Amino acid sequence: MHTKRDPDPNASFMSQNAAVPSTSVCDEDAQAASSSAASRDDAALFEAFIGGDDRAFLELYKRHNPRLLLYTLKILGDRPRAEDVTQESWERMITMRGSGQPLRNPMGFLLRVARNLCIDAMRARRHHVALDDLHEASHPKVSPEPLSELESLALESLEQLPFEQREVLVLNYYCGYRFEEIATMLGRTPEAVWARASRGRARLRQIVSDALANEEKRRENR
Amino acid sequence: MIADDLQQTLERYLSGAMSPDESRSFLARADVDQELRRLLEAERVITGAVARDLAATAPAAIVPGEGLRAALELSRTGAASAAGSWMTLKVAAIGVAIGLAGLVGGSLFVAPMIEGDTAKPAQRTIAPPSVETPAAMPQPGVETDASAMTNPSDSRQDAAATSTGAATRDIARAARPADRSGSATDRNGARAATPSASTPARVGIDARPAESLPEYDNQKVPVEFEVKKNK
Repeated sequence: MHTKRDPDPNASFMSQNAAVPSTSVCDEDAQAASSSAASRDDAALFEAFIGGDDRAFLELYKRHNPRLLLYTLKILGDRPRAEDVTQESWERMITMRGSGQPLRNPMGFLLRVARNLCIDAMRARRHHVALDDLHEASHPKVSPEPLSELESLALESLEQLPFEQREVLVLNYYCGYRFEEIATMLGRTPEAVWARASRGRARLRQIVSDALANEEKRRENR
Repeated sequence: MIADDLQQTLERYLSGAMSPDESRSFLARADVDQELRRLLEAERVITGAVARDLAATAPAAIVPGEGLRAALELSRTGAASAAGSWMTLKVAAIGVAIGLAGLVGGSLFVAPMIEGDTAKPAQRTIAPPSVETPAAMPQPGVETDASAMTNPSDSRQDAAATSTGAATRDIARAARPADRSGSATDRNGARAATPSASTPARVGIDARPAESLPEYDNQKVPVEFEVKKNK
Protein backbone atom coordinates (compact mmCIF):
# COMPACT_ATOMS: atom_id res chain seq x y z
CA MET A 1 0.00 0.00 0.00
CA HIS A 2 1.40 3.29 -1.00
CA THR A 3 1.80 6.21 1.26
CA LYS A 4 -0.99 8.71 0.96
CA ARG A 5 -0.13 12.35 1.00
CA ASP A 6 -2.12 15.38 0.23
CA PRO A 7 -1.97 16.68 -3.28
CA ASP A 8 0.42 19.51 -3.80
CA PRO A 9 -2.23 22.07 -4.80
CA ASN A 10 -3.62 21.96 -1.29
CA ALA A 11 -0.59 23.74 -0.01
CA SER A 12 -1.51 26.78 -2.01
CA PHE A 13 -5.11 26.54 -0.77
CA MET A 14 -3.87 26.37 2.76
CA SER A 15 -1.69 29.41 2.33
CA GLN A 16 -4.56 31.32 0.78
CA ASN A 17 -6.93 30.19 3.42
CA ALA A 18 -4.51 31.09 6.15
CA ALA A 19 -4.33 34.55 4.66
CA VAL A 20 -8.07 35.00 4.98
CA PRO A 21 -8.16 35.90 8.65
CA SER A 22 -5.53 38.56 8.21
CA THR A 23 -7.97 40.61 6.21
CA SER A 24 -10.87 39.89 8.51
CA VAL A 25 -12.30 41.84 11.34
CA CYS A 26 -9.88 42.21 14.17
CA ASP A 27 -10.71 43.97 17.40
CA GLU A 28 -9.51 44.19 20.93
CA ASP A 29 -11.05 40.93 21.99
CA ALA A 30 -9.12 39.03 19.37
CA GLN A 31 -5.94 40.72 20.46
CA ALA A 32 -6.78 40.02 24.06
CA ALA A 33 -6.44 36.33 23.39
CA SER A 34 -3.13 35.67 24.99
CA SER A 35 -0.18 34.16 23.22
CA SER A 36 -0.25 31.31 25.70
CA ALA A 37 -3.75 30.46 24.56
CA ALA A 38 -2.62 30.54 20.96
CA SER A 39 0.09 28.01 21.67
CA ARG A 40 -2.25 25.51 23.26
CA ASP A 41 -3.97 22.80 21.28
CA ASP A 42 -7.68 22.72 20.73
CA ALA A 43 -8.45 20.25 23.50
CA ALA A 44 -6.58 22.31 26.06
CA LEU A 45 -8.32 25.43 24.88
CA PHE A 46 -11.69 23.81 25.17
CA GLU A 47 -10.89 22.59 28.65
CA ALA A 48 -9.89 26.10 29.63
CA PHE A 49 -13.11 27.38 28.11
CA ILE A 50 -15.14 24.97 30.17
CA GLY A 51 -13.24 26.15 33.19
CA GLY A 52 -14.47 29.68 32.56
CA ASP A 53 -11.77 31.13 30.31
CA ASP A 54 -13.55 33.06 27.57
CA ARG A 55 -10.27 33.93 25.89
CA ALA A 56 -9.78 30.26 25.14
CA PHE A 57 -13.06 30.27 23.28
CA LEU A 58 -12.01 33.35 21.34
CA GLU A 59 -8.83 31.60 20.33
CA LEU A 60 -10.76 28.56 19.18
CA TYR A 61 -13.09 30.81 17.24
CA LYS A 62 -10.21 32.64 15.64
CA ARG A 63 -8.58 29.40 14.62
CA HIS A 64 -11.51 27.56 13.17
CA ASN A 65 -14.29 29.93 12.25
CA PRO A 66 -12.94 30.85 8.78
CA ARG A 67 -12.61 27.23 7.80
CA LEU A 68 -15.89 26.27 9.39
CA LEU A 69 -17.65 29.00 7.46
CA LEU A 70 -15.97 27.89 4.26
CA TYR A 71 -17.17 24.39 4.89
CA THR A 72 -20.78 25.40 5.48
CA LEU A 73 -20.65 27.86 2.60
CA LYS A 74 -19.43 25.30 0.12
CA ILE A 75 -21.77 22.63 1.37
CA LEU A 76 -24.83 24.86 1.40
CA GLY A 77 -23.88 27.31 -1.33
CA ASP A 78 -25.75 30.07 0.45
CA ARG A 79 -23.82 32.60 2.48
CA PRO A 80 -26.53 33.81 4.89
CA ARG A 81 -27.60 30.27 5.58
CA ALA A 82 -23.99 29.19 5.99
CA GLU A 83 -23.36 31.97 8.47
CA ASP A 84 -26.41 30.94 10.44
CA VAL A 85 -25.29 27.34 10.54
CA THR A 86 -21.77 28.33 11.53
CA GLN A 87 -23.01 30.50 14.34
CA GLU A 88 -25.35 27.81 15.56
CA SER A 89 -22.46 25.35 15.59
CA TRP A 90 -20.48 27.67 17.83
CA GLU A 91 -23.49 28.15 20.04
CA ARG A 92 -23.72 24.40 20.42
CA MET A 93 -20.14 24.41 21.56
CA ILE A 94 -20.91 27.13 24.07
CA THR A 95 -23.72 25.05 25.49
CA MET A 96 -21.18 22.31 26.09
CA ARG A 97 -19.80 24.53 28.82
CA GLY A 98 -22.70 23.62 31.04
CA SER A 99 -22.02 19.92 30.70
CA GLY A 100 -18.45 20.28 31.87
CA GLN A 101 -17.32 17.44 29.65
CA PRO A 102 -13.99 17.93 27.90
CA LEU A 103 -13.66 17.35 24.17
CA ARG A 104 -10.62 15.66 22.76
CA ASN A 105 -11.36 16.98 19.30
CA PRO A 106 -13.29 20.25 19.49
CA MET A 107 -12.98 20.88 15.76
CA GLY A 108 -14.33 17.44 15.07
CA PHE A 109 -17.26 18.22 17.33
CA LEU A 110 -17.81 21.51 15.55
CA LEU A 111 -17.61 19.92 12.16
CA ARG A 112 -20.06 17.20 13.04
CA VAL A 113 -22.51 19.73 14.41
CA ALA A 114 -22.11 21.89 11.32
CA ARG A 115 -22.45 18.86 9.09
CA ASN A 116 -25.71 17.81 10.72
CA LEU A 117 -27.04 21.34 10.55
CA CYS A 118 -26.09 21.55 6.89
CA ILE A 119 -27.90 18.32 6.19
CA ASP A 120 -30.96 19.64 8.00
CA ALA A 121 -30.77 22.86 6.04
CA MET A 122 -30.46 21.01 2.76
CA ARG A 123 -33.41 18.83 3.61
CA ALA A 124 -35.48 21.85 4.55
CA ARG A 125 -34.47 23.60 1.35
CA ARG A 126 -35.37 20.55 -0.65
CA HIS A 127 -38.80 20.56 0.88
CA HIS A 128 -39.59 24.23 0.83
CA VAL A 129 -37.85 25.77 -2.16
CA ALA A 130 -38.93 25.43 -5.73
CA LEU A 131 -36.53 23.59 -8.00
CA ASP A 132 -36.21 26.59 -10.28
CA ASP A 133 -34.94 28.70 -7.44
CA LEU A 134 -32.65 26.04 -6.07
CA HIS A 135 -29.91 26.21 -8.64
CA GLU A 136 -29.57 29.96 -8.51
CA ALA A 137 -29.79 30.15 -4.74
CA SER A 138 -27.24 27.42 -4.21
CA HIS A 139 -24.77 28.68 -6.71
CA PRO A 140 -21.47 28.82 -4.91
CA LYS A 141 -19.65 31.38 -7.00
CA VAL A 142 -19.26 34.76 -5.39
CA SER A 143 -16.25 35.69 -7.47
CA PRO A 144 -16.45 39.12 -9.05
CA GLU A 145 -14.20 37.90 -11.87
CA PRO A 146 -15.99 35.71 -14.33
CA LEU A 147 -14.74 32.16 -14.38
CA SER A 148 -14.01 30.36 -17.58
CA GLU A 149 -16.53 27.93 -18.92
CA LEU A 150 -14.48 24.95 -17.79
CA GLU A 151 -13.90 26.43 -14.35
CA SER A 152 -17.59 27.06 -13.93
CA LEU A 153 -18.23 23.51 -15.02
CA ALA A 154 -15.74 22.25 -12.46
CA LEU A 155 -17.37 24.14 -9.59
CA GLU A 156 -20.84 23.15 -10.65
CA SER A 157 -19.71 19.55 -10.88
CA LEU A 158 -18.31 19.82 -7.39
CA GLU A 159 -21.73 20.94 -6.24
CA GLN A 160 -23.33 17.93 -7.83
CA LEU A 161 -21.07 15.33 -6.30
CA PRO A 162 -22.51 12.99 -3.68
CA PHE A 163 -22.52 14.63 -0.28
CA GLU A 164 -19.79 12.52 1.30
CA GLN A 165 -17.40 13.04 -1.61
CA ARG A 166 -18.14 16.74 -1.81
CA GLU A 167 -17.70 17.15 1.92
CA VAL A 168 -14.26 15.59 1.89
CA LEU A 169 -13.19 17.63 -1.11
CA VAL A 170 -14.46 20.86 0.44
CA LEU A 171 -12.61 20.12 3.65
CA ASN A 172 -9.47 19.37 1.70
CA TYR A 173 -9.63 21.94 -1.10
CA TYR A 174 -11.21 24.87 0.67
CA CYS A 175 -10.59 24.34 4.36
CA GLY A 176 -7.10 22.98 3.90
CA TYR A 177 -7.40 20.01 6.22
CA ARG A 178 -5.23 17.01 5.62
CA PHE A 179 -6.94 13.69 5.09
CA GLU A 180 -5.79 12.43 8.46
CA GLU A 181 -7.41 15.43 10.11
CA ILE A 182 -10.58 14.96 8.12
CA ALA A 183 -10.66 11.32 9.09
CA THR A 184 -10.34 12.24 12.74
CA MET A 185 -13.04 14.85 12.49
CA LEU A 186 -15.45 12.61 10.65
CA GLY A 187 -14.66 9.54 12.70
CA ARG A 188 -13.48 7.58 9.65
CA THR A 189 -10.26 5.94 8.70
CA PRO A 190 -7.84 7.95 6.57
CA GLU A 191 -8.12 5.30 3.89
CA ALA A 192 -11.88 5.71 3.71
CA VAL A 193 -11.54 9.48 3.50
CA TRP A 194 -8.89 9.12 0.85
CA ALA A 195 -11.10 6.80 -1.15
CA ARG A 196 -13.97 9.25 -1.02
CA ALA A 197 -11.79 12.10 -2.13
CA SER A 198 -10.25 10.02 -4.86
CA ARG A 199 -13.62 9.05 -6.24
CA GLY A 200 -14.80 12.64 -6.10
CA ARG A 201 -11.73 13.95 -7.85
CA ALA A 202 -11.95 11.24 -10.46
CA ARG A 203 -15.54 12.18 -11.11
CA LEU A 204 -14.64 15.85 -11.47
CA ARG A 205 -11.73 15.09 -13.75
CA GLN A 206 -13.92 12.87 -15.87
CA ILE A 207 -16.51 15.62 -16.34
CA VAL A 208 -13.95 18.27 -17.18
CA SER A 209 -12.00 15.86 -19.37
CA ASP A 210 -15.13 15.02 -21.34
CA ALA A 211 -15.76 18.73 -21.78
CA LEU A 212 -12.20 19.17 -22.99
CA ALA A 213 -12.67 16.33 -25.45
CA ASN A 214 -15.86 17.90 -26.78
CA GLU A 215 -14.07 21.21 -27.18
CA GLU A 216 -11.28 19.52 -29.11
CA LYS A 217 -13.82 17.90 -31.37
CA ARG A 218 -15.47 21.26 -32.06
CA ARG A 219 -12.11 22.73 -32.95
CA GLU A 220 -11.39 19.86 -35.27
CA ASN A 221 -14.77 20.28 -36.96
CA ARG A 222 -14.02 23.92 -37.67
CA MET B 1 -15.42 6.48 -19.80
CA ILE B 2 -11.95 6.91 -18.44
CA ALA B 3 -10.40 3.74 -17.18
CA ASP B 4 -10.12 3.37 -13.44
CA ASP B 5 -6.51 2.31 -13.59
CA LEU B 6 -5.64 5.53 -15.39
CA GLN B 7 -7.37 7.54 -12.67
CA GLN B 8 -5.55 5.59 -9.99
CA THR B 9 -2.26 6.18 -11.68
CA LEU B 10 -3.00 9.88 -11.85
CA GLU B 11 -3.97 9.90 -8.19
CA ARG B 12 -0.69 8.31 -7.28
CA TYR B 13 1.19 10.90 -9.26
CA LEU B 14 -0.73 13.82 -7.78
CA SER B 15 -0.34 12.54 -4.27
CA GLY B 16 3.42 12.20 -4.70
CA ALA B 17 3.36 8.50 -4.05
CA MET B 18 5.36 7.69 -7.14
CA SER B 19 9.05 7.12 -7.13
CA PRO B 20 11.17 9.35 -9.42
CA ASP B 21 11.41 6.59 -11.99
CA GLU B 22 7.67 6.06 -11.94
CA SER B 23 7.10 9.79 -12.29
CA ARG B 24 9.37 9.98 -15.34
CA SER B 25 7.63 7.09 -17.02
CA PHE B 26 4.23 8.60 -16.15
CA LEU B 27 5.12 11.93 -17.76
CA ALA B 28 6.53 10.16 -20.79
CA ARG B 29 3.23 8.33 -21.13
CA ALA B 30 1.28 11.58 -20.80
CA ASP B 31 3.11 13.00 -23.81
CA VAL B 32 1.71 10.33 -26.05
CA ASP B 33 -1.54 9.43 -24.28
CA GLN B 34 -4.13 12.05 -25.19
CA GLU B 35 -6.61 10.80 -22.61
CA LEU B 36 -4.07 11.06 -19.82
CA ARG B 37 -3.12 14.52 -21.02
CA ARG B 38 -6.77 15.59 -20.83
CA LEU B 39 -6.97 14.27 -17.32
CA LEU B 40 -3.97 16.30 -16.29
CA GLU B 41 -5.48 19.37 -17.93
CA ALA B 42 -8.77 18.71 -16.15
CA GLU B 43 -6.95 18.54 -12.85
CA ARG B 44 -5.32 21.88 -13.56
CA VAL B 45 -8.69 23.43 -14.40
CA ILE B 46 -10.26 22.09 -11.21
CA THR B 47 -7.52 23.30 -8.91
CA GLY B 48 -7.47 26.68 -10.62
CA ALA B 49 -11.23 27.05 -10.29
CA VAL B 50 -11.13 26.17 -6.61
CA ALA B 51 -8.29 28.60 -6.01
CA ARG B 52 -10.11 31.45 -7.72
CA ASP B 53 -13.34 30.61 -5.94
CA LEU B 54 -11.56 30.52 -2.62
CA ALA B 55 -9.84 33.81 -3.25
CA ALA B 56 -13.13 35.41 -4.19
CA THR B 57 -14.93 34.14 -1.14
CA ALA B 58 -15.57 36.86 1.41
CA PRO B 59 -13.49 36.24 4.49
CA ALA B 60 -15.07 35.04 7.66
CA ALA B 61 -14.91 36.92 10.90
CA ILE B 62 -12.33 35.82 13.40
CA VAL B 63 -14.12 37.40 16.33
CA PRO B 64 -17.57 36.32 17.46
CA GLY B 65 -20.54 38.45 16.61
CA GLU B 66 -22.94 39.98 19.06
CA GLY B 67 -25.18 36.94 19.20
CA LEU B 68 -22.33 34.62 19.99
CA ARG B 69 -20.93 37.00 22.56
CA ALA B 70 -24.31 37.08 24.25
CA ALA B 71 -24.44 33.30 24.27
CA LEU B 72 -20.95 33.22 25.71
CA GLU B 73 -21.90 35.68 28.41
CA LEU B 74 -25.05 33.73 29.12
CA SER B 75 -23.12 30.52 29.49
CA ARG B 76 -20.86 32.16 32.06
CA THR B 77 -23.72 33.67 34.02
CA GLY B 78 -25.59 30.40 33.69
CA ALA B 79 -22.70 28.60 35.29
CA ALA B 80 -22.62 31.21 38.03
CA SER B 81 -26.33 30.95 38.60
CA ALA B 82 -25.99 27.19 38.74
CA ALA B 83 -23.39 27.57 41.43
CA GLY B 84 -25.66 30.02 43.23
CA SER B 85 -28.58 27.67 43.05
CA TRP B 86 -26.39 24.92 44.51
CA MET B 87 -25.54 27.14 47.44
CA THR B 88 -29.21 27.97 47.84
CA LEU B 89 -30.03 24.29 47.83
CA LYS B 90 -27.45 23.59 50.49
CA VAL B 91 -28.77 26.37 52.71
CA ALA B 92 -32.31 25.15 52.23
CA ALA B 93 -31.30 21.60 53.13
CA ILE B 94 -29.63 22.83 56.31
CA GLY B 95 -32.74 24.82 57.17
CA VAL B 96 -34.97 21.81 56.67
CA ALA B 97 -32.69 19.67 58.83
CA ILE B 98 -32.77 22.23 61.62
CA GLY B 99 -36.53 22.48 61.36
CA LEU B 100 -36.95 18.73 61.58
CA ALA B 101 -34.65 18.56 64.55
CA GLY B 102 -36.70 21.24 66.24
CA LEU B 103 -39.91 19.39 65.59
CA VAL B 104 -38.53 16.15 66.98
CA GLY B 105 -37.10 17.86 70.04
CA GLY B 106 -40.29 19.75 70.63
CA SER B 107 -42.40 16.64 70.37
CA LEU B 108 -40.18 14.85 72.86
CA PHE B 109 -40.57 17.75 75.26
CA VAL B 110 -44.29 18.12 74.88
CA ALA B 111 -45.16 14.43 74.77
CA PRO B 112 -45.04 13.86 78.57
CA MET B 113 -47.41 16.73 79.11
CA ILE B 114 -49.79 15.38 76.55
CA GLU B 115 -49.75 11.92 78.07
CA GLY B 116 -51.36 13.23 81.26
CA ASP B 117 -54.31 14.41 79.30
CA THR B 118 -54.86 11.34 77.24
CA ALA B 119 -57.76 10.09 79.36
CA LYS B 120 -60.05 12.83 78.22
CA PRO B 121 -60.15 11.87 74.61
CA ALA B 122 -60.64 8.27 75.64
CA GLN B 123 -63.59 9.23 77.73
CA ARG B 124 -65.01 11.28 75.02
CA THR B 125 -65.22 8.23 72.89
CA ILE B 126 -67.80 6.83 75.28
CA ALA B 127 -70.68 8.71 73.95
CA PRO B 128 -74.21 8.61 75.34
CA PRO B 129 -75.73 5.51 73.90
CA SER B 130 -78.91 7.15 72.84
CA VAL B 131 -77.14 9.74 70.81
CA GLU B 132 -73.99 8.42 69.20
CA THR B 133 -73.67 4.69 69.52
CA PRO B 134 -75.59 2.84 66.83
CA ALA B 135 -76.03 -0.20 69.06
CA ALA B 136 -77.77 1.96 71.63
CA MET B 137 -80.00 3.57 69.12
CA PRO B 138 -83.59 2.68 69.40
CA GLN B 139 -84.94 0.40 66.81
CA PRO B 140 -87.04 2.15 64.26
CA GLY B 141 -90.64 1.71 64.69
CA VAL B 142 -90.45 1.17 68.41
CA GLU B 143 -90.53 4.66 69.74
CA THR B 144 -91.71 3.52 73.05
CA ASP B 145 -88.53 1.56 73.62
CA ALA B 146 -86.39 4.46 72.65
CA SER B 147 -88.09 6.73 75.06
CA ALA B 148 -87.80 4.05 77.69
CA MET B 149 -84.12 3.96 77.20
CA THR B 150 -83.74 7.64 77.61
CA ASN B 151 -86.21 7.92 80.41
CA PRO B 152 -87.43 4.63 81.76
CA SER B 153 -89.76 6.08 84.28
CA ASP B 154 -91.92 7.71 81.68
CA SER B 155 -91.88 4.89 79.24
CA ARG B 156 -95.48 3.93 79.62
CA GLN B 157 -96.73 7.47 79.39
CA ASP B 158 -94.63 8.13 76.35
CA ALA B 159 -95.83 4.97 74.79
CA ALA B 160 -99.36 5.98 75.42
CA ALA B 161 -98.80 9.44 74.11
CA THR B 162 -97.20 8.33 70.92
CA SER B 163 -98.99 5.17 70.27
CA THR B 164 -101.80 6.68 68.29
CA GLY B 165 -99.81 8.23 65.50
CA ALA B 166 -96.40 6.64 65.67
CA ALA B 167 -97.50 3.11 66.14
CA THR B 168 -99.69 3.24 63.12
CA ARG B 169 -96.75 4.50 61.18
CA ASP B 170 -94.72 1.62 62.49
CA ILE B 171 -97.28 -0.81 61.38
CA ALA B 172 -97.34 0.67 57.97
CA ARG B 173 -93.59 0.50 57.84
CA ALA B 174 -93.66 -3.10 58.84
CA ALA B 175 -96.02 -3.77 55.96
CA ARG B 176 -93.63 -2.47 53.39
CA PRO B 177 -92.24 -5.20 51.21
CA ALA B 178 -88.72 -3.93 51.54
CA ASP B 179 -88.82 -4.11 55.26
CA ARG B 180 -90.08 -7.63 55.19
CA SER B 181 -86.93 -8.80 53.59
CA GLY B 182 -85.05 -8.29 56.81
CA SER B 183 -84.61 -10.97 59.36
CA ALA B 184 -84.90 -9.03 62.55
CA THR B 185 -88.30 -8.51 64.00
CA ASP B 186 -89.24 -6.70 67.05
CA ARG B 187 -91.37 -8.04 69.76
CA ASN B 188 -94.48 -6.59 68.18
CA GLY B 189 -94.02 -8.75 65.21
CA ALA B 190 -93.18 -5.75 63.07
CA ARG B 191 -89.97 -5.93 61.24
CA ALA B 192 -87.29 -3.62 62.65
CA ALA B 193 -84.77 -2.26 60.27
CA THR B 194 -81.33 -2.93 61.59
CA PRO B 195 -79.46 0.30 61.81
CA SER B 196 -76.06 0.29 60.37
CA ALA B 197 -73.14 2.57 60.73
CA SER B 198 -73.93 4.24 57.48
CA THR B 199 -77.65 4.61 57.89
CA PRO B 200 -78.66 6.70 60.84
CA ALA B 201 -81.41 5.27 62.88
CA ARG B 202 -84.72 7.02 62.77
CA VAL B 203 -86.16 7.65 66.16
CA GLY B 204 -89.90 8.05 66.03
CA ILE B 205 -89.95 10.23 62.93
CA ASP B 206 -89.96 8.83 59.49
CA ALA B 207 -87.89 11.13 57.39
CA ARG B 208 -89.48 10.04 54.21
CA PRO B 209 -92.12 12.24 52.69
CA ALA B 210 -95.63 11.27 53.45
CA GLU B 211 -96.54 10.54 49.88
CA SER B 212 -93.86 7.88 49.69
CA LEU B 213 -95.36 5.94 52.43
CA PRO B 214 -97.73 3.17 51.46
CA GLU B 215 -101.33 3.81 52.10
CA TYR B 216 -102.76 2.13 55.03
CA ASP B 217 -106.22 1.48 56.24
CA ASN B 218 -107.27 3.50 59.22
CA GLN B 219 -109.54 0.72 60.18
CA LYS B 220 -106.69 -1.41 61.43
CA VAL B 221 -106.97 -0.14 64.90
CA PRO B 222 -106.71 -3.57 66.48
CA VAL B 223 -103.05 -3.55 65.72
CA GLU B 224 -102.59 -0.56 67.91
CA PHE B 225 -104.55 -2.32 70.46
CA GLU B 226 -102.22 -5.23 70.27
CA VAL B 227 -99.27 -2.98 70.85
CA LYS B 228 -100.81 -1.64 73.98
CA LYS B 229 -101.71 -5.04 75.00
CA ASN B 230 -98.21 -6.28 74.76
CA LYS B 231 -96.95 -3.50 76.87
